[in-house]
Amino acid sequence: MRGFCLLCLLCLLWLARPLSAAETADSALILNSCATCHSATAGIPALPHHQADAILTQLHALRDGENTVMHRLLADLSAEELQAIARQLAATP
Amino acid sequence: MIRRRQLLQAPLLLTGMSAMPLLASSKARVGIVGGGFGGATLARYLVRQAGVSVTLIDPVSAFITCPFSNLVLTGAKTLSEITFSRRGLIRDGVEFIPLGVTGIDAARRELTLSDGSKDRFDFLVCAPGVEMNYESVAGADSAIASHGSGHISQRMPHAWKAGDQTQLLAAQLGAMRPGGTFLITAPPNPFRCPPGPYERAGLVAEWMTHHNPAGKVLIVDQKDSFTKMPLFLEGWRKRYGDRVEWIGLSQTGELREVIDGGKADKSGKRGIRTDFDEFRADVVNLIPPQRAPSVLRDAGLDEGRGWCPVHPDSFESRVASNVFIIGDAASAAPMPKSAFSANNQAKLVAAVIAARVNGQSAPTAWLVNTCYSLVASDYGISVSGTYRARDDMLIQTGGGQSPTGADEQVHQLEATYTHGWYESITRDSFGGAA
Repeated sequence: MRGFCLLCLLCLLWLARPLSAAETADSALILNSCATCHSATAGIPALPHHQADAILTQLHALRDGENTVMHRLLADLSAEELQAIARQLAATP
Repeated sequence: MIRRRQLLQAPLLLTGMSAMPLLASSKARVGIVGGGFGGATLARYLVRQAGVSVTLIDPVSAFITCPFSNLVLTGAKTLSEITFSRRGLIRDGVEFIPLGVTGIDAARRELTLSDGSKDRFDFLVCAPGVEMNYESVAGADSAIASHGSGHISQRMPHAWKAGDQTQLLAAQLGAMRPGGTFLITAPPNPFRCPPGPYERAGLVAEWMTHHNPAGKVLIVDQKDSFTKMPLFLEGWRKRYGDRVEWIGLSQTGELREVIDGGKADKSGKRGIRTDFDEFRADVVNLIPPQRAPSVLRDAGLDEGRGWCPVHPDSFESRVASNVFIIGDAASAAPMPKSAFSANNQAKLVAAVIAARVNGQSAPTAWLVNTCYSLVASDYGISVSGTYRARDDMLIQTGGGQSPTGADEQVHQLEATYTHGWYESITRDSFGGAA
């Protein structure tokens, strides 16, 4: 039982470890995932395309705030990944 | 490495779809089997990339979505509102061949089409969805044989592929006697759209409050828990009291037999027999176990396991190189078999193929799924998951469900998002409105 708990703890630590550079997800792929829900004209807010800094602030607010799905999804993205998608959103017309 | 376009234009000429031309002769050819959420999304995202020509093969000239088909069942939507033509894809430059695929030579990446022609591709992507597996439902085959009254799905519709089946079940629901029982058999995991049977139960119960106030919904489940279970149970209790009843596997045992045709009792009721019980109902929505379609299994792409194993960082088949499996037919747990998953996996495969064609390094995957379900037309709930590939395994790294005990406004907002999601994903996948 103790061995099982230790194994679980090690698994959790392993899962929670910071992402290496090679593990940082492709920002274009992340943005393509956003398009699944954010291509509609009604119901779900459109993606922001203003300044990268402002978008990053917005992403952090969504991740840390109380909302329906966005905090669950953004919680999995690293600081680098959030910065990259903010930059890319800002660069997309 | 990249083969020149084969001189196998015959099927294209025959169907008059030969829009993509000899100009494409130096491009890598990508063949896509199946034009649902996975195949259509892949075609749209891949055709934007340089250096590829994209051919999508599907006998269905207009695709009817399973998402929102529960709203067609209850009359809130029409079938045409959830039907998407291939115009969006063709406009984007995808070559569409309205034929079936009868054979796959995975090693050669060669398809045999339903007109007998053969076509080879540089990359092959299989996105064929699911096949209903009645073999494991005892009595289903014998009922067909002994009563000669057509396939079991004509009398106990699965309505798990949208279209005629949806209309058939809708007609049975509408014709049900006052106070009748609508029985749903929910299949074992894994299956297409894990929350689907439970969304259906709630929406049918909502329909009954207006049209059949003494009616009941009974779910006999081949498992002991299901996705968003606390949220569904809470929603049903709040909205429908005891109209919806759920019975799990350990309570009633496995589905052993269907009671159909000549075996129906004097009242004409159909039903099912499980290990411990017999259930009679006015309408039986038998949702059987599922597996990858036979054309993939016959090609060995499932390694005899029913679903097709893939490398999670690319969704490339574990059986054949440059052959990819996406959507419901892939063995991609812990990602559920959903339209969102298929759409999302398609975007990864589009990036993987584009990188290979252009000699770039493979993209690092981040996969995501969100499933909205309606407990009632103004009551939505959701589950999300995010996934990364590590050590050749797919691992859920984030996500969660709507909270239980939330205010009605939260569920109203999620119902609004459910509709927004549908409008958005269909636009993203098929390139246009219904």
